Amino acid sequence: MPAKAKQKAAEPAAAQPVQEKSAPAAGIQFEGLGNLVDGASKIVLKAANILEEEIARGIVAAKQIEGKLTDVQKLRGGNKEELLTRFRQDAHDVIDLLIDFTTIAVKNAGSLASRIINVRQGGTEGGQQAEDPVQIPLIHAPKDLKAGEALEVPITLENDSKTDVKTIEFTNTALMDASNNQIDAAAITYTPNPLVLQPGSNGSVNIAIKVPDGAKPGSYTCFIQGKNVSNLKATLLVKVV
Amino acid sequence: MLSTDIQEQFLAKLGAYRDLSLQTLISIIPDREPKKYLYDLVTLYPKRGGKGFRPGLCLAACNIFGGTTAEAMNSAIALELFHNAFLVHDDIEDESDDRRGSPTMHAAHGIPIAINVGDAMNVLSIKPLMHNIFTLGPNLTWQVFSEIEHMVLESVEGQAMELGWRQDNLCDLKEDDYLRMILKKTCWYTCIHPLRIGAIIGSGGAIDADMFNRFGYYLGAAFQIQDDLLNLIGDQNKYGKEICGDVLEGKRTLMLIYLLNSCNKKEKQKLEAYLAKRRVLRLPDETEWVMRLMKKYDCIDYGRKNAQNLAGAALKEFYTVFGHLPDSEDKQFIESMILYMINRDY
Repeated sequence: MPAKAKQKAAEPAAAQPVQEKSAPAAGIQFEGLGNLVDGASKIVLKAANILEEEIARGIVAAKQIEGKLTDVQKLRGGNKEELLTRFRQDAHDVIDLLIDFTTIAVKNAGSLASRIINVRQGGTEGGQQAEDPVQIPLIHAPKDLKAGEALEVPITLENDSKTDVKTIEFTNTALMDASNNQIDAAAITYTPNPLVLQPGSNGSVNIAIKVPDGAKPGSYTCFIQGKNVSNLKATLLVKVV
Repeated sequence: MLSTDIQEQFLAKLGAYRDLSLQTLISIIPDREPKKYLYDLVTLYPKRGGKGFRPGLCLAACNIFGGTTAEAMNSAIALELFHNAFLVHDDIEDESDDRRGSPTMHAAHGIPIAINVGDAMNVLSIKPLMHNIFTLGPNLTWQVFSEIEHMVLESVEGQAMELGWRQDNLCDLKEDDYLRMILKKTCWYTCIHPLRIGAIIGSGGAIDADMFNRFGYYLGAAFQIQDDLLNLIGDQNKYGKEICGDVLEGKRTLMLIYLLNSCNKKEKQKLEAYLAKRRVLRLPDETEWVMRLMKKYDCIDYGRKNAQNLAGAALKEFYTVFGHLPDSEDKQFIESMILYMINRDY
């Protein structure tokens, strides 16, 4: 239960006159709102009280849920097959569904990734699995780029399947930064594309990034996906300076 | 009113976040059969151009608190999928005809198909939350799951309250009842949790997300009351739903509750009798009479003033929660959303 009653000490907003220092900082003209924020409002006071009541109720509910979790600790410590069997038998318990799927995912993040494709930043040499599989899909461009500059980032992929050939066609979204500046998706290309991975083999793909002239500085990110490999997904981070 | 420039900036940002999240949402829909009866329909409502408040709030909050749009995207599209699943099922429960300017899912494809599409959207929203583990790690993934679990539970409880009121034709409801219902049905999932989830991801779990509860509640309540007002007096072409649909559905809006508490005994008896009928049996002239009664007792003005009061309170809370943070487009975006909520006409 995420919500806790930590706001009780604060007075409801409309019960307090707006202070001078609270004037809009971003240059927004609040025409028409008049003195609405100055006067105490019955509905706002009621709303504040109801929120506190509901949050307090939620804390009680959270304790009940905690008790329920304690009951499933034993199962959670067991193997995932047992857990999945239990899930199939009791599919209506949404809370357990979410919790237990998360547990499986956490415990088996490595195997989940390897069952599909392993992604490792760098060339094919070395061949060592990253220690923390959770971090693998975040790909950092190894150096900052200026507008107009280009860079290639080699990425290694492993096909852990012993039987299936994987053909991966790469695609990506546009790059976007926190200020909503965008770089077109076409600024990123892949060689080769598609990449064919034989069973149990490694392969390398070069991700080429061409920052267009006039791109604004910022930390840009985009999603990279394998079109025909639904769970191959990584985030590319490119810093434009 | 917001100045034109600020409003245009706000709408541009809202549109950019909506388009980006829609693009990502579509990419996770399975590309396999059955398309005609399921997967093609899953994107029907999202593609109709919803406003995208929920992903917008989530992504903006993440950026404000130090994260990136990409980091919050999985959670943002999960929120949007849950929202659209709610809409599909709500439309069936409310027997609504129109949604975003076109026939509702069940009106166009039948109730059984529509229920299943809503179920599928709920299930599909779990997948991006599971994918969080690859970009956010186990701790943040778990925190976001906890937020979603609370959000969904509150929403269905709120919906149950409203449906129950209509089923039992409760006519002695008070303003407090309405405020509690919309907190549960609307505010947690429209404003509070999108903000909380975005800020949790952006801060790497360091933020005390409870700071957003009050702001999100006031903002969501202003949004809901404005939505109910538009249903009574809006332009159907812009609003996208049938005008007075809420009256026809017997929906316990703030304005209807105010009317039930304001009208005289004879009027109340007639109103109770109208609300006791099934929707299909409520005659147009009876509905017009309810609208005239609302006008007689200034119910629209009452609703508008309360929406404005709540927006004012949200503005004050905004300064408390966000005031100390450096100015940014995302901060301005959330600030602008407050007035947009009560000035919008769709």
